Amino acid sequence: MLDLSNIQGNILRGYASFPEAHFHFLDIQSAGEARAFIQRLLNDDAVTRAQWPRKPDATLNVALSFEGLRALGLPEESLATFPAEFQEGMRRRAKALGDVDGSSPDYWDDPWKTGRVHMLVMIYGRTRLALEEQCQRLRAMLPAGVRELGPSQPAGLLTIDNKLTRKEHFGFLDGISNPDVRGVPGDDGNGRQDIGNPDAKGGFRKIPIGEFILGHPGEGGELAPMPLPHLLAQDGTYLVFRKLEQKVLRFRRYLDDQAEAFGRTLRASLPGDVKPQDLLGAKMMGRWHDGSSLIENPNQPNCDADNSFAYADDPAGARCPLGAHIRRANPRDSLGFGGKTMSRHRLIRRGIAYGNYLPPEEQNEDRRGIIFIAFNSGFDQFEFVQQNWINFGDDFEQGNDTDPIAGNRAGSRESGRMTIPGDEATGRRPFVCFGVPRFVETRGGDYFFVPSLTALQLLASGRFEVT
Amino acid sequence: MANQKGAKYGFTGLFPVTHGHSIELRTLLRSLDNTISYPRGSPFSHVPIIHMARLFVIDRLAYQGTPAKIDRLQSDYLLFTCDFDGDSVDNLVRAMVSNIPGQLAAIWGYCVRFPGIQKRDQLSEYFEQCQLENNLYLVDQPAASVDAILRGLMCRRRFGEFIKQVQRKPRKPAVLQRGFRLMWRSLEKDRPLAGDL
Repeated sequence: MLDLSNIQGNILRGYASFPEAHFHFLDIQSAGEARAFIQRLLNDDAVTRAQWPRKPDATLNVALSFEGLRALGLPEESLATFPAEFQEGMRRRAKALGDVDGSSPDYWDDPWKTGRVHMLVMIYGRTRLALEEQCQRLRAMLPAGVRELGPSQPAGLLTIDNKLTRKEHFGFLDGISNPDVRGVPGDDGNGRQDIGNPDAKGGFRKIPIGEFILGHPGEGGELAPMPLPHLLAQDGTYLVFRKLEQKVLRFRRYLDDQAEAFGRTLRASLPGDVKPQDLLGAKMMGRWHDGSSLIENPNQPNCDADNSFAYADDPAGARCPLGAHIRRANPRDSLGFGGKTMSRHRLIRRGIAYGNYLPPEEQNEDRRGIIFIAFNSGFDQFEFVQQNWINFGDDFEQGNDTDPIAGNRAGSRESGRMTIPGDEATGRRPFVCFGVPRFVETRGGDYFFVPSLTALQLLASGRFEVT
Repeated sequence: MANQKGAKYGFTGLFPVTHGHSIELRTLLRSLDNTISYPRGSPFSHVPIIHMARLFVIDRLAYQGTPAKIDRLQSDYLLFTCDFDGDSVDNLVRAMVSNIPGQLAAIWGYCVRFPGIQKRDQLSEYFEQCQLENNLYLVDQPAASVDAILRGLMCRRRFGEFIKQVQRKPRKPAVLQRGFRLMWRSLEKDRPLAGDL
């Protein structure tokens, strides 16, 4: 029984029509005042749910870190039942996640570098004005015992050529692919093509909701481990929040440097307006800038951000390299076993860009990147993808090679490598990218728990019975 | 038998940890991949038949939500899984005693009824008592020894370096062939050790 009014928003259906966002980071000094603050949010019906009677102009959602739950007064018996990864938090797990060297917490921005955020308040707005009004409303409600840690984090869809777009800073259309979850009504009208897990017939089937919401069966039919008390856990989920800085100039320069050598591997000349850099970038990502997949469009983009493809007809990676970003992040049918070795590693992604887009002619080093947000009912889902598929390559016959776009590069900055298989059909020869630098550097983040509306009421009441 | 695949054996063992010593054991385990103390990667890199070893401490069972009951363990456990070239537990024990006796004693010293490393028969029996039969043993390269795999990795690296040179500057076919033969001959001579690559 799925009660969408009990689950917070932006999890099962993204806030696609809210292009502006702002993230507030709160520190709880007084448990009583923090609980009263949550109660006030609930009394005002200010926490946005997964289902709304009428679309608001701005949304508001709340998540808590482990230290935040403790600061709220959750007793030790309950705290001890939360997963180890959540208790440790993202900073302590930096080494395991590949947040080392240039991505290490030494280089993180505040408040992530020096503090431990207790409560994350996420606000999205249909317009800049609606967003600012909502943020002001929040700030006015904060009691003395709940202070805001600076700086807060603005974010929003990029404006490129005077148009609002879902492209991220490297220039690729983002957010095309998300899990197709059983029991979630329709799509939000944006023509999304969510993708499930492989079925036995070369297609895809819906994913049980328990992979993303606690208290419901997941793949395999059992429940993900839940903290106690039960009412606190039911219909909640875990949120992975990562501030990922994108080194756009570095990315563009690398593609420019490789263009000549890569161009030599092409037999036929590229179609009209496709440069070697465009094809090389697409080979790293697995999609062209406009979102069209390499699997369906191996030679040139075609404006259709398709998502219902599989990899069965491309076992050697001639069309989409085995180590390309989207093939790593969601291998679909390419790992065999009927999808059973990938089906428990799906993530719901609701990331959003921050910073200004860098036009192609410009060269400033302004800070820009992605606020990576993922939802899973267990952190093993995110950490598996991060450790085994993004920062390692063995499952894709790539040895130690990491994801060309998002992966870490151990040791020196330019130690990365990516293999682009050739294509016997067109005569294109293989090409190996050497000295691939790190294009994405972590600048902060943490693991959060997203309580259901009922659980928020429980937290606000302060009456916990851990049986 | 699901412990053996080709030339490889997959050992899985659950060793009860002496009460109150889990934290010290965990601290010790976390120090095992310190590359200053173990430049080759870990103490297990010094056991020539070991492909992979994994250790962690289990101190509770996951609660999966109602209607499941809450289950408690009577003691903490050290889980040790190890893929190695061989066909019996004794092969593994013998290799560890010869190569890393100190670390073996230090780790398993925290476990209940550990007989010490002096009598290898008793030690093998102890490992067998704590052994779990695998239901399924998936092995990537059942016939490849540690040595064969290291040489394969070295091949890949040398070949990569060769490609890097060639991509940067195209060569005439005869020059290319000469260079390739030189590179290939160099592979036949070298024998990498664990941690070299």
